[in-house]
Amino acid sequence: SATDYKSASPNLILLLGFTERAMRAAIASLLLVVLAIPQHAAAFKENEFKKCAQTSFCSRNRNVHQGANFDVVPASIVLNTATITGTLLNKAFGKHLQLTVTSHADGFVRVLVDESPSVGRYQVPSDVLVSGWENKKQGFKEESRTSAAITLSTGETKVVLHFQPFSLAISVKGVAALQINSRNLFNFEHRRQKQEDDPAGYWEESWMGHTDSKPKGPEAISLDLVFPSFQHVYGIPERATSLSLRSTNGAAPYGEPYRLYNLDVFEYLDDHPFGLYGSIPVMLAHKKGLTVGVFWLNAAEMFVDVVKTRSEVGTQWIAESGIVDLFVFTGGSAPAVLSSYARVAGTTALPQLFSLGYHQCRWNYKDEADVKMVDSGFDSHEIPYDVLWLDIEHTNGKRYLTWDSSLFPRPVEMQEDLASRGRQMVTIVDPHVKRDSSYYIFSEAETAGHFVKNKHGSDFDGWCWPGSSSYLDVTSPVVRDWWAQQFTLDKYKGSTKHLYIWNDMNEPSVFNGPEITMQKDNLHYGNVEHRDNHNLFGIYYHMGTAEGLKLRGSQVDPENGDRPFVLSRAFFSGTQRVGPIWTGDNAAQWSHLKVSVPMLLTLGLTGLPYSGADVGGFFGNPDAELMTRWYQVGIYYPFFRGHAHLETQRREPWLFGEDTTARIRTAVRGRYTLLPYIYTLFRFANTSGLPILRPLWYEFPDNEDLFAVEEEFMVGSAMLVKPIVAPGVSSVDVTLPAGARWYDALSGAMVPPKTRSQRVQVTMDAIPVYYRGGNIVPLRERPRRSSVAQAADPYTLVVALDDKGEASGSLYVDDGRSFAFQQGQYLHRDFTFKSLKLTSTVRLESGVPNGTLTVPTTIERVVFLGLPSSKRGYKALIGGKHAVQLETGPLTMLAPQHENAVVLRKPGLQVSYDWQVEIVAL
Amino acid sequence: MQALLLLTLLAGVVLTHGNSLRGVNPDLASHYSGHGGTFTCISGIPKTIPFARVNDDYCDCSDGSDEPGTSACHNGRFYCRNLGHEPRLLASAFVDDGVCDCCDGADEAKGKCQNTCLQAAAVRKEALRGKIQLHEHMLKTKDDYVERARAFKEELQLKAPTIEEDIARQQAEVQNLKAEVTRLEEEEAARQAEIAAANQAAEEARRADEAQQTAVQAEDSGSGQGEDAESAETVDNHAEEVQGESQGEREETPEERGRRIASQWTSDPEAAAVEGQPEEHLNADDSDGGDDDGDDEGHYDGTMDDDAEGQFDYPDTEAEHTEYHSERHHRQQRPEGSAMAEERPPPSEWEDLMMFLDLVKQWAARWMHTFSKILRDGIREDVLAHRAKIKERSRSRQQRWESAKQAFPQPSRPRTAVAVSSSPPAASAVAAVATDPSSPLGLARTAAFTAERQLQQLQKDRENIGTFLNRPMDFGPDDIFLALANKCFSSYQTRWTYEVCMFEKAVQKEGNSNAVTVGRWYGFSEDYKVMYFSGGDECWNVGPRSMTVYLSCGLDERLSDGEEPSTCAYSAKMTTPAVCTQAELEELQQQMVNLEAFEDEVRAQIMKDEL
Repeated sequence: SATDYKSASPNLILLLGFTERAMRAAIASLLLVVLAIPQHAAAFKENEFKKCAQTSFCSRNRNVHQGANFDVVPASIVLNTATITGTLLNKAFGKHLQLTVTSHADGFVRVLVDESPSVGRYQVPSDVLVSGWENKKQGFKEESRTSAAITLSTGETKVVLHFQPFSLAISVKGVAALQINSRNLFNFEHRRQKQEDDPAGYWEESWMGHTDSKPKGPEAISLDLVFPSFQHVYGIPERATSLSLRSTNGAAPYGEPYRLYNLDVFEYLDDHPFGLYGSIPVMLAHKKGLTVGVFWLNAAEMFVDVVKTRSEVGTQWIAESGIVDLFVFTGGSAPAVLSSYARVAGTTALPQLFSLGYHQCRWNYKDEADVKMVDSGFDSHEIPYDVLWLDIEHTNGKRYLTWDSSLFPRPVEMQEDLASRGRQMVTIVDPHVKRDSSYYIFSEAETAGHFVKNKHGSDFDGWCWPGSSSYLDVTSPVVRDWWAQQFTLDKYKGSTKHLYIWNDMNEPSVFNGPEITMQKDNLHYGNVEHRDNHNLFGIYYHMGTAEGLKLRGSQVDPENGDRPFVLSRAFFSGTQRVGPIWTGDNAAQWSHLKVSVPMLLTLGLTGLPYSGADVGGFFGNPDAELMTRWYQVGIYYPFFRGHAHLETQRREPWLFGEDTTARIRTAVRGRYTLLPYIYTLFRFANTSGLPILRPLWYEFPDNEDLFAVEEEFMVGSAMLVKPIVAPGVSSVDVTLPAGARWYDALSGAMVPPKTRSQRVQVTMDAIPVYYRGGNIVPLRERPRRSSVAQAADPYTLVVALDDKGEASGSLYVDDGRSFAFQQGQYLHRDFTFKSLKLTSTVRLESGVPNGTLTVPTTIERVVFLGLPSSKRGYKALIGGKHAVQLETGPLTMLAPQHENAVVLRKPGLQVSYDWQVEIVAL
Repeated sequence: MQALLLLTLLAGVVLTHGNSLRGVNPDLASHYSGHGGTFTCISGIPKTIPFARVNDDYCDCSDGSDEPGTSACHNGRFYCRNLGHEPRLLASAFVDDGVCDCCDGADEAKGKCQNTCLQAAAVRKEALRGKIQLHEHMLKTKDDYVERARAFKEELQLKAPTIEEDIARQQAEVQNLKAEVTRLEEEEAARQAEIAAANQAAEEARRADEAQQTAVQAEDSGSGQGEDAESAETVDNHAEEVQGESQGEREETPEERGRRIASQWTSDPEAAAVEGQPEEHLNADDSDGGDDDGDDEGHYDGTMDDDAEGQFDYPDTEAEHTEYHSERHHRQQRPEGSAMAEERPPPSEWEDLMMFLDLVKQWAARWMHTFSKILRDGIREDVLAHRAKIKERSRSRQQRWESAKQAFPQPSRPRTAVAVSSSPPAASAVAAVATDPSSPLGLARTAAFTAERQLQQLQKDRENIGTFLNRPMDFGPDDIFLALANKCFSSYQTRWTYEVCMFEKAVQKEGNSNAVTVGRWYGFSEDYKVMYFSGGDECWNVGPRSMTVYLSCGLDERLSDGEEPSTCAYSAKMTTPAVCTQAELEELQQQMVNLEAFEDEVRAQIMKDEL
């Protein structure tokens, strides 16, 4: 089986390589027998990846106290409205650094440290971030200045710069938020000349047969960031670990720092500090009364230690190169921190509505007949889905943007056929380019010099799916431009406007490179070493591809264009502006289902909410129970896709027996029911940077019991989901936070909150989900075959009342596909329920044009949860006159057997206009 | 709505209130009469609603029955009349969703869809026509079975009276011929011994000559021709080993590393086997298939496999061969490991039929060939001439061998002296040389062999007589199942193989392990639609195993759906033309008559409707 090979120790395979050939076959067969013993723990080859101790820059800085080595030169301090500058002196070397602290109007302070004078150390290019924030500053007020420190304030933020040794303390509203270098772990390795007695690892480093020539020598930076009186920090994805980050001075594997280095980690473990495919150097710290965020804009390999004590969470961040460019978000609350971060790194691109539906993927849907069969399987089993995916086998020999014409002789007709039922297709396109001069992508790119270079300056040649490959140097805007042009309909043969793209392997994955990636001394555009911008390769490739689809869209629809949909595996800060990511090659195990929740919550807290885990697990074969539970959770993943490895059994939703098919059908229909709510949440993510999935503490920031809860999560502010992540579960403990009213999302029954968790009975049919009182949630209840087929359907409003009998919510509507919304072609309504009056008003938001769209859609049902009981019931006065009797009915059509809700039937309300409905007790 | 009304009228259904409602299933029409101005949900939570709420685009009933013609309910069913084709019950979700699901387009707003029922009907008619032809063919086969069974029985009856006598005679004949062979072999052995002695003397002389030459040369000259490649490889390996020793541990090349990592992702255990197959390299285009292979299928190639194979090298610059071809070649060869696990939905009736018709053609050709051959050879004639022939054969053995020799000329390729026979060791040397069939020994052997075969045949006849003639056994109407005498049919499920041997036993096997007998022949059910096997191997706590095989009309014998519904009681399904009936054919023919009778009317109506 697949795992058998995977668990093979590399030593054994190496050994095989040295053995006399005549013996090889015999040994190979012996090996097969040996390997037939499952060795799951050995799947992730820990020894194929570097630890801090095996990494020169990390080991020479980790926990190394520099004493009072770095001082601020008091006389050098200059305050110029919003910016304070000064000189930092590295006393051990007599080297000068320039310190710059700037206060920005968008709720953050930026701290820059670079060598003085500049030696041209790498800085992350501005196109990774958004622009516009740089010059919006908010002046500093000098509160006091002594020979030891200067104290400045800006808004509610106070900054104290201590001179000897250098340290910086930031507080918000009088509460200590962050201390920089309070433990003297700060270090800044300056550029230098090679000395004979330089320690090993300064100018060259070897590991697993790869030698990294380090022409620039040591240039690491250590940042000492302490969150005083905090107990919880979150963020720095991507890894399969807890939501509230554990200390890294514990037992293995948590004796290793968290690592930020985008890597293709084969069969990653479900509980490990090791870094995976993407990196966002953002951390949030939360305590009662204050959330603070930090963002170190640096794309080099980075290790982050977390050490918790009773009084603080101390963190040490060690990067291999670059400069200090630290953003400290001081808005005070998690939403404020995320909004501020979004001002810098951008907000989530508003996705096409179809991409929020269900995606069916597999390595591989084999041929056109297979595609047709899977597509019709969804219809015959009445399970909605929107997108069918094709993995690498659809290409001609892994030459991306081509088709295997024996398997897919008529790709255009195939896509048109899917589109006739409102469905789209996605094909995979990876950044490695097969070195084949008859392959047009290779020959054009080679001729134009578009490939990443090795240290000798010639085209880098690495190994990936197609064999010997070169890699597009997407860090160059010229290469990205060229790459974007490859996606127009005339260039990408066999593509249609219904085809979207999946970028895999863009860490980049290089099978024969160090740690399955590129050599750090490879050279990029501008003669930048790969070491400096490694973590940007993924986002740049993703960007180039998304630009390609944007370009294609502008040709197909010159007026409004077409929003790109490109899924990526690798990511960095800013990826949210480009497209969704998924958590890579997980496994069909309960533990992987479980860890998917903290993984996605973490991504939401670091500005990248449009993400998902492969439903069912990529490696291995899920049984019916795991499959069912995974779908029941997966419908709440912002990106909802089922995917499976080449060698797994087929697992389309109807292959697990009728009961399971019915349960998955109900679950997926539930996703489609929620699309208006989810799309509206995406609109908020798009305008304000707010997450879709939220940890409980995000919504209940004062309840300390919830700060580490990852067993439950919120979808927006209105729904609480309790995943079931173990087999054979008949009851679960659910925590329903106090201070809110909760309603069972199937039956509508009110569930009283409790300080502690409560036991809830469950069946295989559903996992516990609750509406939170105080919210109005828009739904579309008709179980269509796709999101496109829902376009004309009426809405249902669920009005879940809080203790005061009030609720509010909103509904965002646009064409679901083009950029017309940016010109105001959208509809955004606010609904409020107060004093028994339900009101619809237009929602106006600053910074975006007002909505001008009207649609003929109506509201077919209004469901009230938590109305006080009235003996003779209620009637509704619509527009002040037309009276309709309220009826008892089900909360949701998915569970018509529960008639617990008070329902306003067919009120005929237009979603596009203002109206008011008054509820009157009879 | 008007169109639907007209169509309904045309169909001759009495117009009721319910029929004017969109999407109502005629079987449920009585629920939609509107009597009393109310509607009662057909199932689910009991509820009665004003009739005005039926099809008002709001779901009131928990079973969706109040909205047969809209998409309001999750679980509603929309009835498409599909006049001219087959009616269909569509999920409510597909009503008014912009996709034409019903061939009459009734599920979408008027004007949105074209009526494609006639096209669909034409396809259906074609399918029906095929089914009829198929059934006619199966009935014809059934007649053939009866004839075959009769001939078989008659032959046994003819042979029965003298069978013991014939066997005794034949046994004597075999003994005589074998004695002759032994005599000739001894003669030949003596002759060979003389030759060998002479050869050995010559060889010793030659060795003395070669004593000065190098050991390597001596070794080489000793190698057989067929081992050349292997020995070349040995030399190669030797060289590499020496190099390896001198360099100490060899590092992976970048390619090897890339391949090793790529191989993590898939097991592809077949890769080694596939690459090892000589035919992979037979194709001229594929002459260095190893390269192509690596290019296309980077992740399929386990480094381990490559190493084990040890014969690939991967040039940096790839020559462009017909990689594409190679890849496809590969695909065809790749065992469908994942495909086996696949449960593809059943093919549509149409595809099924097409496949079926194809099979009919092939099978018919095959069967006609066999059957006409039997007729040509003349079973009866054969039976009548049987005894005469036995004598004739033994007399004309010599003659027949001569003619056979002419028909199958000897290969000119010289044979190597390799002993492959199962002859006793003493005779092996003789057997090795005396393979010339035209020699006296060769001729004697052939004669003995032929006589033995004939003896076996006679013994089989005796067994058949015992089984099928002398036991009171039921072979179905006209003894039709005798046509399947001595035949076994098997079916492979995901784990188990079931094999059913007619009138004998049924077994179950797992992989290569020993078979479990799940029943011995017991008999048919009264209607000959079921076969029983009982008294199989003992099953712990249950008793002897048993198996039931359900028969149905089909093109030929195919066993399927083997399972164990309750412990140690097995069941399977089997198709056979032997149970096809005229009534089934007539039913199909009637369907065709109905279809054709309706066709013109429907066409006229649809045209009118479109106007």
